[in-house]
Amino acid sequence: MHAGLFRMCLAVALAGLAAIANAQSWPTRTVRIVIPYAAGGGVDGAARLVANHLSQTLGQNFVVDAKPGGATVIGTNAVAHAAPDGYTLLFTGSSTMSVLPLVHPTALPFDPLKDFEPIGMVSRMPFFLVTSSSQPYRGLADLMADARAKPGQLAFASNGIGSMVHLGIARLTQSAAVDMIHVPYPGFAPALTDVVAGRVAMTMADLAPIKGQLDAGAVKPLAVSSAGRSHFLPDVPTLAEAGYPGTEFEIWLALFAPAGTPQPVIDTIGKAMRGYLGSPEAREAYGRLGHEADASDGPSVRQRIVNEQKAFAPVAAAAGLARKQ
Amino acid sequence: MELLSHLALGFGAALSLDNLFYCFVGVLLGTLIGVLPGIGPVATIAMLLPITYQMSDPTTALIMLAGIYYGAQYGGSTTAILVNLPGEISSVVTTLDGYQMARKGRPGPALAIAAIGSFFAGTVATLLIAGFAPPLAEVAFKFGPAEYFSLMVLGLIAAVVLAHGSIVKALAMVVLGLLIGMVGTDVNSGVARFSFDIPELTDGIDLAVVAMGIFGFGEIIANLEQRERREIFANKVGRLLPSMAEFKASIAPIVRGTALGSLLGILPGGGAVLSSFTSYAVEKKISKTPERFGHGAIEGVAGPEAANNAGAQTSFIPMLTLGIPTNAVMALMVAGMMIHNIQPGPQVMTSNPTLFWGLIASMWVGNLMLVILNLPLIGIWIKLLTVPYRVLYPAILLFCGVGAYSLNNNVFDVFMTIPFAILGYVFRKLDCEAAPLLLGLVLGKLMEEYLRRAMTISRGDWSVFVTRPLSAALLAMAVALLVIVFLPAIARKRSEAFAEEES
Repeated sequence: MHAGLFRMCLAVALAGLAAIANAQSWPTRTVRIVIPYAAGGGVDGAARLVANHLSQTLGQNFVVDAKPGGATVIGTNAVAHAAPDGYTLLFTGSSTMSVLPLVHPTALPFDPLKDFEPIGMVSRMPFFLVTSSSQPYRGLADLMADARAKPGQLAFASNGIGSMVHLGIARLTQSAAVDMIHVPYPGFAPALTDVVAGRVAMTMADLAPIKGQLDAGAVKPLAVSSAGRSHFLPDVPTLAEAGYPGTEFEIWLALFAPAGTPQPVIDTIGKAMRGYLGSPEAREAYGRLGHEADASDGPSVRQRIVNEQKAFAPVAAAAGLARKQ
Repeated sequence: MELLSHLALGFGAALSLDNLFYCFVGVLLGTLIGVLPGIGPVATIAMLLPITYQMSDPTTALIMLAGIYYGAQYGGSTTAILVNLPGEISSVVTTLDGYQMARKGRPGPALAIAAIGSFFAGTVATLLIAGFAPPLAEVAFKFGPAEYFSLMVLGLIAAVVLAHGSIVKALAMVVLGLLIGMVGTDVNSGVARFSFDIPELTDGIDLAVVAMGIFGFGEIIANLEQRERREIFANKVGRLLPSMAEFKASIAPIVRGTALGSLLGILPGGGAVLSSFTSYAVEKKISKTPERFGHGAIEGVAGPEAANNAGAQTSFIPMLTLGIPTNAVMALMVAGMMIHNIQPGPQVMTSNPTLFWGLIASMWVGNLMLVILNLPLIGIWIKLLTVPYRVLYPAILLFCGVGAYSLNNNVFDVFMTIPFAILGYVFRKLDCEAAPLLLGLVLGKLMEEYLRRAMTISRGDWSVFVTRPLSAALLAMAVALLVIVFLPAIARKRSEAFAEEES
């Protein structure tokens, strides 16, 4: 009896050692960071900055693997079902984790909170509300007043039904009690074209797609969607300052690992990331993409997802997007 | 004149040793991937983009990437003519007559005219960009959803004209293309159609997958069925350069194709593809002997090849002047510029003149390199025809497979080529043409998107299509084209009726 119990304890202890040994020797080969977006876009750029830093700090190659498609479902699902050994990570953001579960027409094959362990935030993108420079509005209040005077006649553009922009503007119009038509586009570029031409009254986008038009004076920013003013355009009032408190939102990007990944691995990556993201070079590098580098940790990302899902559920329902469970 | 000083600045930058080298690398790579079926400029540029991050000079990076893009247009016609496999979607139309010319022992002239036409179009397009970029870019703004819809209607009518067999079959193929285009998430309602809960299908079926399946694999299956046919070509290869008559006959189509491509390339979304289809339709309609089309008419190669090159180059205009990418390749270029901290937009011309004019000048240099590369290489490309088919077709299969995978890093796209391969074989047996199907696929989705967007913005008012002048003009042209197409049939019926009365 004694001998058997002793042997069992020894076996368990050794198995535990093996797990620790595994975590200590990680990474021993290339780590894949999957992005559920097309290669060459803004998310790709943001992911590469982190990947490069991790490669230098942790001594193994961190490569970005683009798996676009299905409104980020394909890539995210691939990581959800990947082995939780720390060699497959996911880089995505609020669109997938907070908004998609609310608006996707069918049940998602993964659960953002249960299937993933957030490692840490990487960057945030404030969204700027812009209108054509040819429009007479001097501020957001003017635009809303015009919309109130002409219910159902002014339109706002979004980069897709159920996108963060759609829900964000829907929440704004609901809060301001105006009736505007929603015109979905397959991306920011076509939406901006129609906004500049004046066919559509306004849209919201992050800095990257609009900077060219802003610099040329073709569009003017009326508000920024974040809680505080953005240092990219410090003269632009926040939505709250413009008279619509409670409507702020931001799109963010974070690094995730499949649930079950050993905690030491997650801690190692998190520490390396936070060290980089707090630095001035990271701030500058992300600034060039129109992002704000952010070094928040995993638990705060998780809390953010929970908060956003709660905040946007009624907006999605009011916009007719909530899935009939 | 200011233009001359700008061009001087541009050529000064473009002719630096570094930029010349990378321009050459770009066009060589572009020609290569254009020739290889399946692998396209989008995948290649996406793969090479990270390398350009390391380059110190963004001008050099953009020159190389641009070279890949328009180089691929040159290369795409090579496989289209020699093995009936369009290397690029815009080369689909070249297969119609180019391949027939190859079958008749005249692949050399077809390849030569394609290269010469492309060079002419490239030169003219470069001059257009240099001289008229800002006003041309404004045209893109005038096109709202209503105008795009009317343009697509015009394009769809052109599809009917593309038919050189039975019009009913062509219509059926267009409708089939429209139906295939229905698969995917609808932009305007967010509903996923025909996706059967497969996430890959919610983005629709990629045009490249359909083209590879129908043109590539379908052709291979059909060819394997008739083993003896392949050997005939090698014996019948005639001269390598076009005859004087062929050359003279190509001049007008090249000019017309260039004009068409330059105009349509500016418009976002399928501009370059649409221009080659439209050019073919125009050439066929204008020709005094339309029955030659589909059997090796040189005009059917000259016009579309010039159009797709002009379209490819002018598609840079909205990106360079307004910062608006008109297709996936331009979107990647925008990304490349932003990584180097250059904001694409109206002020690039003034804040980064070396970049702007250097890129434009290098486009012409690249075109020159391409025509010098491609003309002598014709003899080598023709040797491809002598390769035993049992070696050639596995290579085609391999490249198409790699190309299909490279679209989305997903094996699903490779599997999707299979049903289209079977479909392609069936079409060949039933003597149905696939070109109208591709056109229907491209246009159907876009037409619906623009129609509904125009209606949303106008709040349900149908008159917006005829009250907006540009849209009304395009619709009028479509109606006129429809009448022209069916007038001979009507006139014949009438003369038959009169003849019966008299007798």
